[in-house]
Amino acid sequence: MADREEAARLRGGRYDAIENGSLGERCLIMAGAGPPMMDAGYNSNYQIVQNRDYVMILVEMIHDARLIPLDGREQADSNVRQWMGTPRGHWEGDTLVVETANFNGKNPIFRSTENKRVTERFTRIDAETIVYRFTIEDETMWTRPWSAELLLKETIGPIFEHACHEGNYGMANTLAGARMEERLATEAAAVQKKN
Amino acid sequence: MQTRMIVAIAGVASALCAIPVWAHHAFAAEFDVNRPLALEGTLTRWEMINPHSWFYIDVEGPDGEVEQWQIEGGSPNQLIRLGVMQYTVPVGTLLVVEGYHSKDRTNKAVGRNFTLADGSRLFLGGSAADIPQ
Repeated sequence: MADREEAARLRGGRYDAIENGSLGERCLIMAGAGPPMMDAGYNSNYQIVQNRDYVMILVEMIHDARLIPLDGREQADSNVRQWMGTPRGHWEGDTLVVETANFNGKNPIFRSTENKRVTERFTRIDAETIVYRFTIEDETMWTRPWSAELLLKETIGPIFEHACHEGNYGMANTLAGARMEERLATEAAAVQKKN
Repeated sequence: MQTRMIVAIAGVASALCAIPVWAHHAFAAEFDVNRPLALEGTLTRWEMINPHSWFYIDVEGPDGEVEQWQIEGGSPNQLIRLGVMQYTVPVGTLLVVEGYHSKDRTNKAVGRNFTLADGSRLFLGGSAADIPQ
């Protein structure tokens, strides 16, 4: 944890370099991908496709696909580290249970670490509604697991591609804005000193 | 059997999910809430691209000089779901853009609305939607 804070200090301010921007601003990943799949803020849409062996969840923001095997395979080796972890799914009655480990720690939720483990439960309670419950464990960050519950509501398709890097002018614009603010602050300080 | 379902996270997610409504970037990172503007000009180009659409308009100043402005709007996903397609407003249309100037003070802004000659207004989505009127 101390290492992480020191690394953040050395990186400087949020708008000192584009690498310091949020993952969403840099078109890497957004909160909708998870797991757990949180509200992305907008376009929080998912397409769920399933067969006997896999469930695939296509995340609109920002175009990630979760591939969840259902064949009972063991969890991946802990040397395998991925942005969205390595999921393993199984059915408990009508509830799809997905257990995910092996995160790379670069996409935290509330400062979670690479030791995060997530258990998600998807239960379709009617034709239009899935109850989505999740539990997070991370001994490095929290003293005990915690859980939350969201509703997923059927919506009108289709899912749209969100090729986020396509024209991400905002990255350059935010840095240019920060440099202008610095220049204006320097000029204002010089005027104040002169007076 | 293969089944497909398209779902969206519903309503206010939870108290834990205290994520503000935002575009791909925070409004204040790129635009200045203290510099609202209204520009009257002619649409010359429309980029329906991610993560934000961009509209280009030619604005004639008091001295007759024409300047090009670049206006950020919502993502194509947002606009299409609002019923706006790429050619909803044809190139050459005279319109008024209400929005906020970019922090770098160049000819860029984020748009809230287009107002067309017949008085109709089109909501542009995007990060300016967060700013109270």
